Amino acid sequence: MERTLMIVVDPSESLAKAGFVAAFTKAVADNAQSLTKTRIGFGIVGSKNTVILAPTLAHQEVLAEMRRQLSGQTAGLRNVYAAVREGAAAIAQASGERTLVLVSFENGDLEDNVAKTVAVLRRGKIRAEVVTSETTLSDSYWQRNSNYKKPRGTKLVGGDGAIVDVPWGFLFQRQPANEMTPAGYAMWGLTRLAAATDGRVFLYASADQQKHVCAFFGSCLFCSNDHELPDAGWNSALVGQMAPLVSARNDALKELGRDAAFRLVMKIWLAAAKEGLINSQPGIRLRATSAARDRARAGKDLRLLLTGNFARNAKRAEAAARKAAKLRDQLAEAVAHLPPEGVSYRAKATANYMVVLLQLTRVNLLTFAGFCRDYAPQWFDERTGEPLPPEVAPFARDRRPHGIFYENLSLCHGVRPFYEVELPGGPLLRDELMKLDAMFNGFQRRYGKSQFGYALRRNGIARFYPTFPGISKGSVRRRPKSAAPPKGPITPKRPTRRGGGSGPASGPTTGGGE
Amino acid sequence: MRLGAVVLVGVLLTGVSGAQSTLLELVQQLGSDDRRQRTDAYRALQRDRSPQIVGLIAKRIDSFPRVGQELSCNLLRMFPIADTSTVYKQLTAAESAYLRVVGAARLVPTYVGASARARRQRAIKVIAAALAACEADRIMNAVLACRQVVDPPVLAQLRAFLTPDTTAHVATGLLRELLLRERGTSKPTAQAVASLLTSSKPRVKAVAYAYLLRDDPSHGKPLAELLKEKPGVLWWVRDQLPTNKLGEAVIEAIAAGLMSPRSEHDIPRLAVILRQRAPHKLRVALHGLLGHEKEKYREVALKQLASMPGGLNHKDLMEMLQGDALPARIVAAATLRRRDNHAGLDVVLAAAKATGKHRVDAARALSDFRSKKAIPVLLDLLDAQDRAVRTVAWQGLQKTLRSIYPYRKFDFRGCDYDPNQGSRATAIATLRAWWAEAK
Repeated sequence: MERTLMIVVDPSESLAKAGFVAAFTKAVADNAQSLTKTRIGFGIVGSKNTVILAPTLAHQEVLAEMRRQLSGQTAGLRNVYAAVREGAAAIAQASGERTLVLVSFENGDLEDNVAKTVAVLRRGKIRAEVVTSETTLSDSYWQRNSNYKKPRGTKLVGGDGAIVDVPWGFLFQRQPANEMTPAGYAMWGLTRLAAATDGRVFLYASADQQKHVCAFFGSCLFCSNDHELPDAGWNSALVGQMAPLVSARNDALKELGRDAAFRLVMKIWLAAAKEGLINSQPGIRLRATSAARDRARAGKDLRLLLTGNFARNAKRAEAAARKAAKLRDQLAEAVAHLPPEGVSYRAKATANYMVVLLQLTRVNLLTFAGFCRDYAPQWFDERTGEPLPPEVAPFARDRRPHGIFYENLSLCHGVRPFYEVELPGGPLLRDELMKLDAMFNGFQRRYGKSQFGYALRRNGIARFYPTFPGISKGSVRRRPKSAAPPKGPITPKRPTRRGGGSGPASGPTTGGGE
Repeated sequence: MRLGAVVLVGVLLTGVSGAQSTLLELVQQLGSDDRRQRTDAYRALQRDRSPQIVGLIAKRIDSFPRVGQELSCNLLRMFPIADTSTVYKQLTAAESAYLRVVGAARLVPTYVGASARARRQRAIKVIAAALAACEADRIMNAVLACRQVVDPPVLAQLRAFLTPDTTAHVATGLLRELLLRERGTSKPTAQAVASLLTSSKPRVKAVAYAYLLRDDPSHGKPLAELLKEKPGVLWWVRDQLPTNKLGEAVIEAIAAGLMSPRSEHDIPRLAVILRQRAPHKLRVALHGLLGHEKEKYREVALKQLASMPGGLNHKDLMEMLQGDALPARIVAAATLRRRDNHAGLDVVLAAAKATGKHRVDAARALSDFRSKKAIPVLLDLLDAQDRAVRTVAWQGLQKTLRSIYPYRKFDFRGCDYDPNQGSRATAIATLRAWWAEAK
């Protein structure tokens, strides 16, 4: 059968490491018989003209050009959707079956116009096949960093769904779990291209991305990097249940707007943000029967960490803990009464996740209150005696703290091991930890082998430290006073992120799951 | 009064000359043919660290037999280069080619900047010429002695050693060094290695194939054939094999090698290769080794299986935990702990309390539990007979306390506990007193 294949490659660092050219060369050699009537073209994302070589039957020529073009990789944000449109235009008139293969490990989150790209592909009756990396669950990174410099006419979105539908930014979580949890899916824009044209998405994960790490931005009290996650192998049926919508963004919003569980999550998320329990508001505005995108505003700041007034901090934290309990109960009650019809598994999982996270926030607030009432004042009280060796006073008693810092002790091993850990908060905290343990285990029983079970483990119990005024130094001049333009790349560079795997610094590639 | 001072000076002088004569004797013993005497002298000088050792060695090193020369060079490295550079300069003109390499190699890093360029070039020439003049059985010692020198003349000399009549030992060592110094493969080295393929020694050929395989996968097939024909050559290439470039046939040969290891150390080394490329074959091979007649092999295979994700299933582990074999019970407890199941804690607690050769493993497993229950037992183990047990217990206790008390700060050095020292009672009493209050 006559076919035309356009390979559009995004030449990133992680692609070079993956050995794409060698793998493609082998694939062409192994399938030489079935490719005799297939014309192959080649394009590069980010070059002035995407199409480097028009479709041809001289496959070796394509391979040679590919080797030449991909010998050096370039870092930076590149618009893959514009490149797909150009690649599609180059094969739109070709005879026979038309397929465009997009190979992009990093830039699926940089969107200019996904709907237009889909329209171009459909008009040319071109099937889009995508080879990419896994993204993170409802990635919130670009909402948190909305001012990041990006190419003109594009926006950074990311995440597996059309919108960020999982609450992020819970109080006392250093890093949103969303950004460290493998989604099991590609970035929404890329999935959309494939889904809208009957194509497929192939996820690539390197071996070093699959190593389990208990905590990326905190520490693990209970292992020495030898933890074997009991639910490391995901249940594909369960992951499928929690799949995001791949319809067009507006259609997805309409559908979500009718989902009772989704509406409930958005309502409680907004309420929790207004109480200061979540530091982000949902970037969604609910209407009567639909939803619309909105700017993701910040939540209320309880100002717990900015002063060394421990008594006042403790009082505020206890008040917030009561509100967390109220919202938790309200949400749990509403989830229990959700109608069986018209509720998506993903939205229901999100609601259940939020119930546990509200309880975790309550535990953290009570730990914080205990820290402020019992621990910190004692550390700086000169009447306190010296501890018995080998213990020593954690700080010099004459120092005056001016704020509080925290890190997260990972929940990767569950809540139960924390029973033995000495935490501030006394018996009340112990009771709340037990409640959290029951909720954690219940959640893991239902969602343990899916992206949501994994996300819950990415959160942590906060461990607090006092902070002290630093010694200020004059800032270093970065650029000389001259009219000469600064040297360096014009294309904005992709920031280094640490995700669900220990892979290269290549955006939200996580390689989790099985 | 004056008489007293004279006596005191006399006593002091006698002491100094006595110490010197002892040092002289020790240095002379470095050149002894008696291995025991040589080693004892070396250890004593290592402990002493007196600067006078440098001068005493300088006078005698060239006359020492080869082992004495190597030990002397090691001792010289203990001292700052400022104190030893004269000796190294002297060595560049020594009779022994090995000593010339050592002398020049130590001086090269000191020749920094444009003004020292000529001296650096001279030193490099000395190294290259001395390497070429080395006796065949001292080549690797000399090569290792100039490890930091990566200048082209030295690398060219290393490549020149790669001839078909070289031994497998030298070929393996040289290629490992060249890979390190050139940070991977290089064309000139690959050309030199190609000449090894004409060698009549299968081991040398295997080493050459392993190197060439890094850049050219076509060398996998002849290597696999060689491994099939002479399975023993696997032990010469196991550390050089590029894991991600191995074909099916080589993997098969490695899996076969794992089934009949030469020693227990072979098992983890081959397992590393198979773990990435053929985990199923690794699992089968390790399960096969569980029935091996040697206990040590069984233990290592079990540990390897336990460290593989999904290597041992829950049912197997629970059966092992309730079985009779203590090593298997400890491994099962540790593996279950890694999977957040503390069912094995009591087993490990009991094993750590009991005396026996598995106490170290039990102490290690126990300290990984990070449990309050472990603390009294670890405190007891601080006074165990076996030094290894004491060391593991001491490290484990620190880990456990830091995990259980994240809001407390510890200064364990302040306890003055040293698992290698005889008097530990005070430190243990201090720790016990703290624990009595904290628990």
